[in-house]
Amino acid sequence: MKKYKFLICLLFCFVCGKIFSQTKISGKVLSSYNSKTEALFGASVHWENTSVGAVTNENGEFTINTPTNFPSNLIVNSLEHINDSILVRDSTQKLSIVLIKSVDLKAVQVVSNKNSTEISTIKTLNTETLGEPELLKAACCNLSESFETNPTVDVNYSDAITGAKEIQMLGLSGNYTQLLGEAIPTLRGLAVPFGLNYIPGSWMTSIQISKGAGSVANGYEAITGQINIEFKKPDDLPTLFLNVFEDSRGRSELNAILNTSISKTFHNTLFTHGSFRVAKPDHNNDEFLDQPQYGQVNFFNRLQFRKGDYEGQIGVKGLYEDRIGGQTSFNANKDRGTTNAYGFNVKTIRGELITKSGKVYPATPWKSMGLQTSTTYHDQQSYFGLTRYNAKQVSFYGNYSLIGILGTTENKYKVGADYKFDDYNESLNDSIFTRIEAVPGVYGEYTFSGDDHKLGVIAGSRIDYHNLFGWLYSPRLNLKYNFTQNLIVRASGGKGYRTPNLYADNIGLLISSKQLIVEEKPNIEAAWNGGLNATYKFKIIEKEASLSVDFYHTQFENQLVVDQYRREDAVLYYNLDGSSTANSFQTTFTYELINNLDIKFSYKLDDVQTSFKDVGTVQRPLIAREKLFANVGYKTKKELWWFDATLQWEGPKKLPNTTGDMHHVHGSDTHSQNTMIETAPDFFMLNAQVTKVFRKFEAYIGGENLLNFTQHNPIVGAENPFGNNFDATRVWGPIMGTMIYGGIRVSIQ
Amino acid sequence: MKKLIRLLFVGILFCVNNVVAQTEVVKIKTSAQCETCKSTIEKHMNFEKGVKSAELNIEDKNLTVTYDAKKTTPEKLRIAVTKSGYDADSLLADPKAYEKLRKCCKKGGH
Repeated sequence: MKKYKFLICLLFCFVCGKIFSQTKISGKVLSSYNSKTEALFGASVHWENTSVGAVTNENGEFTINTPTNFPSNLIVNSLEHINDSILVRDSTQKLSIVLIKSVDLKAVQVVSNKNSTEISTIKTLNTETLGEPELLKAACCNLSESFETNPTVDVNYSDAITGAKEIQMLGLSGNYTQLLGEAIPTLRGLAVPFGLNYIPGSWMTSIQISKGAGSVANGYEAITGQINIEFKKPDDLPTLFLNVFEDSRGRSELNAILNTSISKTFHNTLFTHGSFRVAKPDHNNDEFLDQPQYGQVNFFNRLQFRKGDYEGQIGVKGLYEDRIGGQTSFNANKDRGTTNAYGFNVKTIRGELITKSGKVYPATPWKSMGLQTSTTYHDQQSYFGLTRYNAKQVSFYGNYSLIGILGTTENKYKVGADYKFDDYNESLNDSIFTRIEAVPGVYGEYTFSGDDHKLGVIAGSRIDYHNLFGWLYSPRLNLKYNFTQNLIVRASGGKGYRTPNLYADNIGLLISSKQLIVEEKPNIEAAWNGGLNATYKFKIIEKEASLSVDFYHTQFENQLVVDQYRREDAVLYYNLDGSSTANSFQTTFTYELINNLDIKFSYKLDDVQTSFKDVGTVQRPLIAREKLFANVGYKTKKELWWFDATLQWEGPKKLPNTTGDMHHVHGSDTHSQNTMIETAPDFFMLNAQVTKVFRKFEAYIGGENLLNFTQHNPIVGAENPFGNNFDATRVWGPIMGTMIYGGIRVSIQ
Repeated sequence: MKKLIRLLFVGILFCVNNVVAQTEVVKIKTSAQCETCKSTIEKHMNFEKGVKSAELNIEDKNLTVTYDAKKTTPEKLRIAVTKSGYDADSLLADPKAYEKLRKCCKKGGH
């Protein structure tokens, strides 16, 4: 009987609970914006196709009558947020809905991010987010330096003279990584060599690095991954933000951001940048400037509007840069076009017009559509010694997309059509090259993300018709599964394409006495990329730690091979005949050692092999096979002092041939035979920075290359720059010694 | 000699007693609206004399301040909060500071 009593009691409780909960369901609505979540006040919730609704209180909580039957869709709306809905299966389901604030037009959903770098457990793509705290760790100066405290992306100088930098991801040149500015492809084509200098560090609020095959929605160009840059948002900006910077090599910089709310509908943000270097540093006395003198003015004006269901923005970017370098004695007026002294000059004018417009449907909140366009004009006038190179690019990109659901909000789709147009006009000395690319394309992408956040699938395909290369098909698939809340495994695979630019992609090769020989017409580059990632989060002595392991494989179907091995006096361009692969393995460990002290260790192995004609399949030159990375960051308890240091080790690299000993090398057994391909030594780099927060401003001071390691003679044949032996592309290490910098950041409300 | 040592000992004790802060904790209910308010208030409080740490819980809007009772008082801390533009318990925000707050940080502005 006792047993029965208990059972009856239990049943009673159950029934009671059931009856009680049948009348009301409660839950909470949160707002997520720029990596922060907070309770959302005044959001309205209602059951689909009914008038049963409720509004959230100041703590984001709501209580709503149960719908007539389950399952039913609960629709959540709020001003300035992207509407969402959740499928409610029964009245006991715990309801917690996160709405994304729509200021950035749903460009990229930034995940909650307490740490400065975060690998999401929710996202299906293997994405690393560098938040503002992380970006501040490398206060100097622009996008090229933003990756200094990050092991995933490497940045190298492309030559010893121009200061051009290129990024590397998964062992491959940044050309194969798609750069996005707020989800719109940017810095393509001719902007590649100096493009990283066009985005000032203090304009950015976060960078998302996605490895492997990404979304098909941004075009076919991402082969190794995508890097998306988000600029500072109006809500996080003061009325006026100022940043001044100065370094020991004579670089001065001023950034100012003016943030104005024009009316309820319009909001304007003006980003400006001016910087220059007048000093002529030459630390190794090779009579060549270590870095060019330059001046840059750069602005970006973003006007955002929001009215009713419509929102949009118009962005205008403009840039002028003049860089001049070469021999210290070079005088452009006197020596240009002569062999008196070697000099180079690049003048760049660039303009960009970006529009975004979108519409949401309050009645069916999972639905939205958007149109993005970008129109770019890029003009570069340059000479490198006696070589003249002028290039112009006019580009247009338009992308229309429609987002909706299939049945429930767990199943989403995105379909769209886009059009890419590029008009290239290049001249190298007296040869003229023109190319027009016009590529219409359509895409479709299916996203499954379980309400329990366990399984995530993004399956997409796109078809483009390229006027020069015909049909291009790019399928891409991303999978994610959370085995436990703390063990996440991701897999990705897909195909991407890219049209190579002979000269812009390898601007450094113009600064060499080597002949450039184009052996055949370049075809479009195509590659498959596949990868696996496992991330495990755990605790050591109550402190959070994470371990992630990545392996990515890229296999080119076609690639423009830039052969610097076969001949000592020439660089040969030809289409891949054989194989070209890149295998990249990376493991990263992060741990909060004590309160506010974070450490990060990373090991990376990049094995990049390409078939070179008559040489065989060998490691690509100037890529370190192995790299180690360690970073320590500390903030005092009140966060008034920040300390940060990064130590990096780069392993030996193969050097391109300049000695003419290549005839010793045959076939693919090159490795075992100890070839005549020279190897550059390994080295360490140490960067550190201290920031002090004052009531009204922040001041920082830092140093780069504190161990003062340099490659002694980065320019081969510097004594005779017009001779047969001149080559400034054999850069494998730091060109400059220790650099100290300092700056302040001021916010004026 | 013994006396001297004892004196010295007492002296040291006295000094230590004087140097060691009397740490106390106070909770202040604020009118914070969002994450931006949280960082504004925390940063503002961290610059106040005697404050050892300040943490705002955005869910219940309570600001927990650990402070040195020898250098400041809960009253002074509440006034400090109002000077950052937010209400502190029954004290109303400093109007000038409130005006300067961003739209999203004003009451009901969210």
